[in-house]
Amino acid sequence: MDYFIHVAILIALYTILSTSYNLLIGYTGLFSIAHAAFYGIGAYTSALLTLHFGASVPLALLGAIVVTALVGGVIGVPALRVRGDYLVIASFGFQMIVFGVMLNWLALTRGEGGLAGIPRPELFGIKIFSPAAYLPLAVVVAGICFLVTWWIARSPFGRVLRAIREDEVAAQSLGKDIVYFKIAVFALAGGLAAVAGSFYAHYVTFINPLSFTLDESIFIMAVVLVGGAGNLWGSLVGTVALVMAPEALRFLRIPDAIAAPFRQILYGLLLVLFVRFRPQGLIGEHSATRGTPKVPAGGDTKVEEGSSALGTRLPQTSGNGKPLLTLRDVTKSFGGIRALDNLSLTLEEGRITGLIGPNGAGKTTAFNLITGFLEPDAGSIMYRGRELRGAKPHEISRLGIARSFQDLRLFPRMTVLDNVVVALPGQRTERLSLIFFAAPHVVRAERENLRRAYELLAFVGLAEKAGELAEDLSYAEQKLLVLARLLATQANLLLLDEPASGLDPTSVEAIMALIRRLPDYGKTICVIEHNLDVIKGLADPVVFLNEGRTIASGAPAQIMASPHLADIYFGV
Amino acid sequence: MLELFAQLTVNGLVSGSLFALLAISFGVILGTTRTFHFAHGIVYTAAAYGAYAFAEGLSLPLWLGVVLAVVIAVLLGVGIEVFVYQPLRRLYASPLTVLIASLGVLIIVENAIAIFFSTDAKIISGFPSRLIVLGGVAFTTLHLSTVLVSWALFFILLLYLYGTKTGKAMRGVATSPEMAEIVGIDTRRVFVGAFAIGSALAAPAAILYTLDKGATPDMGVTAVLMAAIAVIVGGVGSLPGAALGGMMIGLARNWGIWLVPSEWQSAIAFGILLLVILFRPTGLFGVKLRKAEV
Amino acid sequence: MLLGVREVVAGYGKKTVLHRISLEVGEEEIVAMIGHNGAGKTTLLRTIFGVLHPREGEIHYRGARIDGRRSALNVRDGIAFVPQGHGVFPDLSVLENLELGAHTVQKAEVADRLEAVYSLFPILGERHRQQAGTLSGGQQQMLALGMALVLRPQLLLLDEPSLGLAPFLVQRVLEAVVEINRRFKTTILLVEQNVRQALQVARRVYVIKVGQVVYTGAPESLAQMQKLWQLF
Repeated sequence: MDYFIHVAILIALYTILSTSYNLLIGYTGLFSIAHAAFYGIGAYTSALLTLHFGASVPLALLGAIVVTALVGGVIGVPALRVRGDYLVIASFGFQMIVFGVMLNWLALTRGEGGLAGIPRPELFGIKIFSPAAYLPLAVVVAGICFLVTWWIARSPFGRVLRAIREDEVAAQSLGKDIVYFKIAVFALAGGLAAVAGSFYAHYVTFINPLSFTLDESIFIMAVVLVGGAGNLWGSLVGTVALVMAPEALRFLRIPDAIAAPFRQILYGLLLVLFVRFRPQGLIGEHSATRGTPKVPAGGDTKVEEGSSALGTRLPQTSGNGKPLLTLRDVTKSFGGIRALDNLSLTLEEGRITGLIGPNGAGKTTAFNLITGFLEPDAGSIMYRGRELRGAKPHEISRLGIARSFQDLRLFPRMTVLDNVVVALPGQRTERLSLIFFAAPHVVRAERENLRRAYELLAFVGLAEKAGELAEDLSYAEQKLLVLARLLATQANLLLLDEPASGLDPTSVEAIMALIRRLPDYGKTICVIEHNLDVIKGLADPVVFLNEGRTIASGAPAQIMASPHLADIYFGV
Repeated sequence: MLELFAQLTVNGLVSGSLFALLAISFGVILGTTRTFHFAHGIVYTAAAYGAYAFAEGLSLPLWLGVVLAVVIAVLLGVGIEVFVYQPLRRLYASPLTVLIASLGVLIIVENAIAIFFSTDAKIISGFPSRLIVLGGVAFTTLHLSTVLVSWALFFILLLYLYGTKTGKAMRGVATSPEMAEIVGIDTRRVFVGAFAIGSALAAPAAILYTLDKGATPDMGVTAVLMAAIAVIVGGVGSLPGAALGGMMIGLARNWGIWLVPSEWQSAIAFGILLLVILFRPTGLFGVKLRKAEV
Repeated sequence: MLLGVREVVAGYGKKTVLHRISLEVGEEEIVAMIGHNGAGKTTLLRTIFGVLHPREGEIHYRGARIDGRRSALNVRDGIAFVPQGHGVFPDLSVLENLELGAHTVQKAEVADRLEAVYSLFPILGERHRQQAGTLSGGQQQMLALGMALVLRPQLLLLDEPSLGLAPFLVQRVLEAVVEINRRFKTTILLVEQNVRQALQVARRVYVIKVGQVVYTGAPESLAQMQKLWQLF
């Protein structure tokens, strides 16, 4: 009986480890293989605090969480600089170092001999000794951790994590501070792993470095990938399956000496087979959500006249002639080539300005400078009397400037609705602290945000598709979603990079009709487009760029009547 | 004091040469195929155990054991490419997916070796190693061979890449896979070639290490980590950079004995990596050498 | 007719770029495709060459269907492709680039082919040891043409050879194109953003818009600018 209880306790323990690791790898796409290191740091911290400082178990647990979260946050820093493969190496190295330190810092850790006599926890004055008494505690602790993780994952914070996983640049362009989120999620995952570590230390009362090896990290990875990355229930299923599976192997009467390596082979095989044949895991991220749009309570998906998610509808239509954004003598070189050469350009409030010019004229570069993805070598960029030079992309985004990308940069494996919701500005509910300490507020704000997102989807005609994944939309629908996401930022100035490219003629008409309505809602628009039909049908004025400079601007007909400009556009 | 420094430097050069060989074997695969081939570590381990099985288990001559170990390494490396990576690439799997599969292969084979050979260190004897003392600095003929073999193989690799048609095609694929396809190079075959060469180079590194320190099933994990760090430090795509990265790690680890408490020893290479990532993400020699090399 | 494209539909992932496009190229012709950015010109060249496969439609070359087969086979059958921008291996020397260009050529013939390239572009001979990435833009373009020429292709697909070049170089490169056509009897399908220049070298012109042919005819018929503004 004790044996089954022990297995149940292990399942509780690994549920904590796998769900917290899932936050990193499944939700944020941060591929770290150091989770056993966090687990170990938590275990050692907690054990040492009770052994050397006589701390009570709850206090030691708290200490372990804090220490490990701090370490996690620090590990998050190189993750800001590198992605993908390098992060794997860096975390791999971190795992090896932590193991090396546990093994060799004899004075503190007593090396391979480990720490013995770690006290058991006491609850309401009762010491918990037997596994049977430990099990309820294990279930409660794991349950709390699961709830915390689940709440984080489905909160606005979790939504941003997924957006970062899908496309970091796009998330940044929506005003998300990537630095904050990455460090926070590493600290969070570390803190949760420390709970498991502390729990383990006080449960088995003896720890040594061999419990926190690379193999352990890989085991946790196998649990998450087999269960399904990006789905916490998947991690739960994966935990049960992978903790139980080797126990089942016991009945195969494999000699003890080779039982451990045999288990490892099993995990390795599962990893290889799953990435090949079932990359989404047993329960994929979207196995439950696909095709079931959550219609908001009392949600009216019509676009209201007057004030709405689009912004206030102005009584007076377009063009009051006031400059909203002014570039003056902006210069930008790439390795000796002047992409922009003293570019001056004014975007007037409430108008649709078209940018045209031959290849390499600097149109997209201008967008990159305005949005802060590139910094100008010289010149000034004034927006409502404020200098934008030197501001970061997410800061500029918050001032009300948003751009679309030629290659869309949607969040493909998020729902259509989430693609829009994540772009709504001013979500203080994305802060971790608020998620926990102002939960009712978060729920209320979330409901309001969903309503606004639906309204925008209705505006572009995608309300029906709200529950589908962005990657499952047709290309034309994806282009409409780009527009909805852009509008969700509530930006006043929208920079559209080829909104109609790659579309069939009917869809071109549809998207033009939408864009034409935007100035009515107080939007100022600048559009780059090579299809001159689109320019003719949308833009006034048209600004003609060549070799990084503005050489003409005026009504489309005026521009296209000039023989000189034709020479430049069509070559001499 | 000075003698200690000289001794540590010699030790560093010896282990650095071995890291350099390991790094170029990993780097030629990474540079050509852009595959983060973690399982290279297990190819390395398998070569060591192969040599052990033939030379000690079957009592074959050492040189024959080495040849057979190279064959085993090539078969295993190419097998992983053909049966694990290629199917994943056909599915347009992300590089990280390929990496997970690589880790999976690594632990499968590592534990299979552990079951088959047990985990205690395996020694290969039969190398006529003698001690040489030069001006207060001691090293063995094995150490000398390690340096000579590593650098000889490095130069042979460069000769191949610069002097032969297939070597040039490999460099072409490394610098621009799209262009390689346009001129009609069969990139899939070149990938297999890179895995064969990288794996073949891992075998002598593994055997030289085993002759000195003995083989354990987990030797490949540290080895591939050091190789990866050396390649990143040197700059991905530059073989001389990888070799220099390997030398730096060897020297730093040995000089480190002087400065750093032993429990942090394993952190030295990682520390170098961290500095490079933070201050020069393209790698130390990446920019300068990148243009000229694979 | 050397090349026939019939009702081809092609694109990348979700995106459909070519909507039932058809065109023909006769032997030893120079045909230019013009049109706005994103109209599908490059996509069509890539589809003909075989690095992209059509979803629908057929491509015929020398009387046989070639759609859907690997580009390496097309290279062996005499189709060469010079991609947009830097169609060279920047890290390799000029000579190595040309050797790789001749990767599929019999060893015995390589020397002759190199000579032919050097006689057309003497600068490549002078600089054969220089790294391709350090050549000027115009020289790199000549090298890219040279790499295609060592194949002695029957059909040469050129994607914006004048892109990013100074006006006098544009002239030079396009003169080289005409020279290749004349000297080696190479059929050329050319994508060119520099419309005027393209009109000067081409025998026939296709105007592409939103993945379809919207106009075809002799270059003279497009001399009027107003017409171009409408077609783009």
